[in-house]
Amino acid sequence: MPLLDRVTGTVVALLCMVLAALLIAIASGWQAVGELAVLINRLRAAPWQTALAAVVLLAAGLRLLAQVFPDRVERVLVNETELGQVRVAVQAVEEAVLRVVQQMLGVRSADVKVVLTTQGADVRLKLAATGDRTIPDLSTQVQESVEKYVRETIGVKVNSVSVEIAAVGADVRRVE
Amino acid sequence: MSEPRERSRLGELRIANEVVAVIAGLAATEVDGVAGMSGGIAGGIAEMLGRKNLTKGVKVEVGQQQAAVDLYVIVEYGVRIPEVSLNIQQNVKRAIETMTGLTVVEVNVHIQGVHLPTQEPPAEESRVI
Repeated sequence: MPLLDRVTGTVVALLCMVLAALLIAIASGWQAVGELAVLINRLRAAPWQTALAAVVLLAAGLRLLAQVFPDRVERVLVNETELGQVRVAVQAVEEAVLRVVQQMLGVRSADVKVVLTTQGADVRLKLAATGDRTIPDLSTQVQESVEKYVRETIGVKVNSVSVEIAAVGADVRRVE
Repeated sequence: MSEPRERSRLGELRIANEVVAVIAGLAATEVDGVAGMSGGIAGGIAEMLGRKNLTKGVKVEVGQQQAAVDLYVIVEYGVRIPEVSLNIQQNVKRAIETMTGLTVVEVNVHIQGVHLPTQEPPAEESRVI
């Protein structure tokens, strides 16, 4: 959508919603002064119609906003066949990788960031280790498992898997 | 509603976009490895209101002879996405073509999320029979 359309849509949508809020306030008994008070008194004479207009305007405003700012999920093309394209949301890959890492022995918690491009995936992991295993062993296994999972299950080539060990030690609770 | 597809002596045939979307949605969800469709905020609100939305996560473009479909899918954790996607594409294409006679030119699959199974605690064994 062109920038001008976005700006226009946003302004109209916001106006709709402000007007809707005003009508809701009037319908629920809000008091005003001056010229506005005259208009409000007219509208208050028909509270149901005013409320209905508010609902319609609110719906129109929300609808317009949804059009102006569409679903912004970042997706990357992973496969293209004669039947069509297959795109994967980055968030989906991150969730799955997180699950893979969390299931591994020696990992207490993890934070995953995936950068997907058409050339492949770069995975950045920030781990808290339990301390049961040596860090080189753990990170090598994590790298291999993540690379295998993303390549085989998601179908994306992995360029790199970087691991940062941010903490070591068991998660000991101080209270029962 | 789409343009009339066929015009015979007795009248014309129109297939609504929603019909094609329902067929596509059902065909996609019956594929193994598909956990569900991702319908965004509108789909979620419709479901909360108790309305079964069979077109959730499906966008279609229907012409007089052809159709193109976009599917927004959540897959089960552990399945191979390329394999599942191909199955979805084939199943959706077959279902639409068989049921409507339209030619499906494109089935784009968008994997929106991975459904992670919840780990339920093991049931306590009863001490008595």
